[in-house]
Amino acid sequence: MMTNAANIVNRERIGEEVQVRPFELYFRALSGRDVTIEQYAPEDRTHYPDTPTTIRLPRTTAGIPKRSFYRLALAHRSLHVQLGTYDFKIDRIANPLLRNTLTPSEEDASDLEVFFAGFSDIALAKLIFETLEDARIDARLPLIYPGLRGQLQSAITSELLSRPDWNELPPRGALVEFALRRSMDPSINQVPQAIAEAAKNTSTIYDSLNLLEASVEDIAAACVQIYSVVTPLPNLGVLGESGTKVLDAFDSAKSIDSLWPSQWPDESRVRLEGDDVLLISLPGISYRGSIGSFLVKAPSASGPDHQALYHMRSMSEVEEGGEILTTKSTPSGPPEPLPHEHHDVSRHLHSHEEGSLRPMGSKTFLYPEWDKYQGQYRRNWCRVVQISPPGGGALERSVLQIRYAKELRRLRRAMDIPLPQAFVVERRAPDGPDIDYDAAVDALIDFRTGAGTNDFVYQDLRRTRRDISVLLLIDVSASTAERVEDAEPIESALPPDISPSPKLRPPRILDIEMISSLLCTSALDAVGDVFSVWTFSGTGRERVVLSEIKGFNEPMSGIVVSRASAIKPIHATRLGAAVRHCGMVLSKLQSQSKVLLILTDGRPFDIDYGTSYGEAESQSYALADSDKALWELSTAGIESYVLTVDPSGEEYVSELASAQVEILEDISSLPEKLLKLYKNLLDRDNKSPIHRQAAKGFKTTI
Amino acid sequence: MIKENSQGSVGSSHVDQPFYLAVGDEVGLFEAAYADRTPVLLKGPTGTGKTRFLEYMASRLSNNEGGKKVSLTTVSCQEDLSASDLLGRFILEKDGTRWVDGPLTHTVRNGGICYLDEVVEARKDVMVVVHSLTDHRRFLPIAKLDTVIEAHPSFLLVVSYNPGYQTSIKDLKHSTRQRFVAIEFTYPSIELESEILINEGGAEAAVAERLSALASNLRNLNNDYLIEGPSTRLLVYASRLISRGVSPKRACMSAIADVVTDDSVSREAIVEVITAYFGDSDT
Repeated sequence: MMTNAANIVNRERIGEEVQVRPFELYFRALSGRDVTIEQYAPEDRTHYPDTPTTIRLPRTTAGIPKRSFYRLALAHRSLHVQLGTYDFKIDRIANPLLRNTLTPSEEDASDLEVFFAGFSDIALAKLIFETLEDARIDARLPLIYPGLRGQLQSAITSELLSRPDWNELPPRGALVEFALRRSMDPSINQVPQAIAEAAKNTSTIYDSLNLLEASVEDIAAACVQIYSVVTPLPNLGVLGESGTKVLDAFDSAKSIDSLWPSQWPDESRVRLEGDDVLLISLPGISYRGSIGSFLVKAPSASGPDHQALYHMRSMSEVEEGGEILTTKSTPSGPPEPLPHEHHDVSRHLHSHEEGSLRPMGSKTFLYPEWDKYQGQYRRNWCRVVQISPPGGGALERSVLQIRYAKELRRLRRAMDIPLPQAFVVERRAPDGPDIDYDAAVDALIDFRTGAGTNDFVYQDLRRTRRDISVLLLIDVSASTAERVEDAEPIESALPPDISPSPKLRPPRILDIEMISSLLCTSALDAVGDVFSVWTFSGTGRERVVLSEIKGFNEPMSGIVVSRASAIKPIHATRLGAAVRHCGMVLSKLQSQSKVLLILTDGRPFDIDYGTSYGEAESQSYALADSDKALWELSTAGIESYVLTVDPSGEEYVSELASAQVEILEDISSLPEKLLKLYKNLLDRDNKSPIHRQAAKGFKTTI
Repeated sequence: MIKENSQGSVGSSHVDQPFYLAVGDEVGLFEAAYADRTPVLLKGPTGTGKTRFLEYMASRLSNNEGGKKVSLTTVSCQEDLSASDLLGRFILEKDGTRWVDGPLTHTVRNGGICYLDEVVEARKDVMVVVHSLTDHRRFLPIAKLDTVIEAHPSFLLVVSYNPGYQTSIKDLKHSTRQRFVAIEFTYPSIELESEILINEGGAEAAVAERLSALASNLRNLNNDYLIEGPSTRLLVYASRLISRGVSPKRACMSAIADVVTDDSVSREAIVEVITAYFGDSDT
């Protein structure tokens, strides 16, 4: 028995916070499919089913720790893909009589559509099919994922304890409830007396299925049989206390063939007598989800399979009050996350605490701010919080590569400049491919005159690297959520095979910024250059957020793309603190040339960025501090460039005199502009005094 | 002991031969290429057995040639490896200089297989010197000696590279590529990989199968989330740790999760997959 202390621990674990992103990757690993996980509150009884790209899981779980529940629920769903649930094919049905009745009536009808069209009560058929198919999945799950065996048992135990009382169900509902329980516990043998015969037949059908070997087509055939056992039972009233009966052991002598319906397709209609209703409504098995409602799009299954099931489900959708909505259309589903989330800025509006700040936790940094009106720095005035965004954006690297293949090729061609794989000849080296004859003669003279020996008699080629570090800092303040109406619309981030008719919308400034930077980064990565990408936003001086999208030593990867596409426009542009932090990052690098490239859409602004001096003065304050920060960089040997897509940039760029500022009139040319800027930097870097000096000295550039 | 696998190609666990289990028809293909001394390019991800394959083939060809040993000279290329490192150099001695053959020159003179591993990592001048060895000429010019060396009849040049993580400047040029026949190496099937783990890592059959299935799942994260998924080599390491008494979950975290990524999200996902195969206990 579990102790109270253990109970407390267990409850705490059940309510534990679980980050969904690792579980999204977990599902990808198991199934090869990308999904987004959405969490719903347990009290939300109207949560919507999964879609091909979204799996919805409860925010809290009962009876099993949340992490274990997620692991199990996603493994179960992944096995539907792996074990071919969506790859149902009529011509693989073993029973020729059933197979021959299923002839596609429409050219575009999927095999699942054709199969379910044979039932008069499609919702019931779907429920039975799902139950049997889930049983097949659960039978295989512990063999494929042995580490989940215990978690599956715990989940089943918990589910069985929470099933409804079948004595309070109508006979048909009670039998389906038996089938559901039987799908979790093959040893169940006590059933209400009133459905004993039907339960025995149901059990016989289960027993005849070798779930470890069965295919989805075998499940479909069994579905037809159980359906024909279930439908003769009335769906009226409740069983009541009719007593229980212990089922006999599996009767192998009983022919499973006797349980086939006498006629198929099922041409009869389920009787509607009095208060008889079509729908059997039973609580589902929480970790299993619903396979028939856009769970995943299996590679070999066509879209209509899911459409078909979903439409079928909606045909007899019932609202909570029990009213039948026979023609209810597909529910629209919950709203997807907004393109950007405006957090509660107002709570920060009055955070004008005077005085220095203190660091709060790791990865926080304090920086001064220049007060032009006081003519001095305000010490430790801004707190920068450096974060590594977890990713989770919908855009995949492969999609980026496919959708922007033309642009990428163009950018790569643009970067196909003579690469500085130059070498310098290092003379008097201890080792090298050639002898340095001057050194060798000197060494021999020394040796023969007894002056000692010297091994430094070779010449070597030393590679000179493109010694430049460029950090791209992108403004992701709330204003970048603005859509650029005259820019070319961009598609939904979903791959075309999942999102066949994407909604075209004008891109946001942020979209263009991000895609431009990703394309540039991809092009630079392809030619082997290093490049770092950061974003910044903020909610006042206490929290200026800098996100590292791609580190200097990090290769371009799907993780980078995922991080970038997850960035949302948010809050303000406290440029000074962001610049100072980037300066700190760059100053730690050993590169000869360090460059900060800032991409912004407007003048610096924050809720407390000099606002104490008045609104008009705050603009000047913010510009002065930003310029001061850029000046600080220049004194540290770091060059800075500001590229603004703000059409009114001319009004203030002159105040950022410490950097080279350029106004980009056509934002769609941003990728080319970024690369051009970068190439100019390289050209200049390759002609730097250091290289020229090397050419004049004992080193020779070749 | 030579045995046929399901694809009809061969593997061997002969004590004198390195263990190698053929994934496809690579053994027959290599033998055919060697018969005409056609240069061979091995492509494939890290840890898929390219080097081991060549060790096996060198041993196997030695047996085929009536015990006449076919030597294998392996050069691991890196960005500072130059043509001189392959060809040789003059060494300064008290009475003058002495020429010392590099590994390529040595193999060209004396015969055998010269294997340039990860050849695209080397300096560009390396590819220039091998060009004349990879066509009908089969000779090696050495400018410093003012001589041309005819390749030994048993000489064969083999190069390898991993196209997965190379940038375009480190890609093989087509003028070089088209001097070789290519043999592509991929991750073995779960069944074959399990057999490798049993032989190489001493894993029990059930553990080997789980490790292989785990790796197969994690390779679904390749490219987009992992630079490269776990190699067979890493699975062998995990098998060995398990054989030494380390718990399977801990072994997999150490040999797989912590090796293939530094990203905390990817690592957590990998640990979840490991848990699905080996349970929650890491002791």
